[in-house]
Amino acid sequence: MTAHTCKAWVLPIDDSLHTAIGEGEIAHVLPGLHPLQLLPRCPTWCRNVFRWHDRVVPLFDLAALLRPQGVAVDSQAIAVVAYPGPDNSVHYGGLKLSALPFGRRVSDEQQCDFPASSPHWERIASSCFEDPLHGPIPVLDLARVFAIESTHWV
Amino acid sequence: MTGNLATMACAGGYLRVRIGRTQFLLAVTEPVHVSRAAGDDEPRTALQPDDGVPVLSIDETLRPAAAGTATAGCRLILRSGTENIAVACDAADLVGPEGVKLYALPPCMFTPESVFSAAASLGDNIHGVCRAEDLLAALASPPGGYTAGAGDTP
Repeated sequence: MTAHTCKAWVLPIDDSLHTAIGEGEIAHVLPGLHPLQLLPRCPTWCRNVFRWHDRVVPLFDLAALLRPQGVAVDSQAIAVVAYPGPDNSVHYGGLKLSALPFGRRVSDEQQCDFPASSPHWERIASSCFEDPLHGPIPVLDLARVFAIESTHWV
Repeated sequence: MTGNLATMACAGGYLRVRIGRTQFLLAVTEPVHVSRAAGDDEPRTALQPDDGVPVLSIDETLRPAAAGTATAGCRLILRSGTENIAVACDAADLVGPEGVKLYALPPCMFTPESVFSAAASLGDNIHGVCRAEDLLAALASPPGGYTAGAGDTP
């Protein structure tokens, strides 16, 4: 029997941190620097917003969430992603990337445990697959990422 | 605190406040008033000026300013219940509602000391939108009590 496969986008977060989303969850990739607006007193992991088409979209920094003591890396690209809101309407958010995303075809046989790089993966990712080049890559649950409540994130 | 666009929209327009590179909007129905050092052309909002209010100098991260960095173009007087604080700011003016489009912020952008309930696009700019009560509560909270939003750098 042939293993089920699907396409995923792998998102480089920093030099050693990668995550992935489903093929249909990426709406746009904005390469290079993009004008950001800081909203003071927001959490370090999501304190900037930017314009995308006729919208104002929040920018999420996964490195700041998962490695709060790490050195901030300049954004080299933004992935605009689509995810379902509580009312099932489509919401858009941005993910800060250290490099352009790239595609991978993933099969069920590659399923593996979350990496030890952070104890928090299981709170924001739905599954994980073993990549031959980058090791375990968690697949984000985008609705959970943008619904993180800071008071519960300890 | 969570954002509710319906309660943030104001048909009467908004007071736009600038502190350093940070600009934000308050609905004109909010209990605030702007006073300037001279002249009588200050924007008319829900409250009239009140003498004897302590003045707090804050910087563009909306935290208490270091000595010598205070701005003093005008004062934003905030009132909530029996509490009053005047905040030194660089500039304030009134903007009509027609050019302001509000956007909800996701839960991941809120902390116990958050100020902004929504974002707004106005011309080429993006602003945070806040309530006087939330700004007052954030400014009155002890420094260092919450760290998720610390270290804002525009």
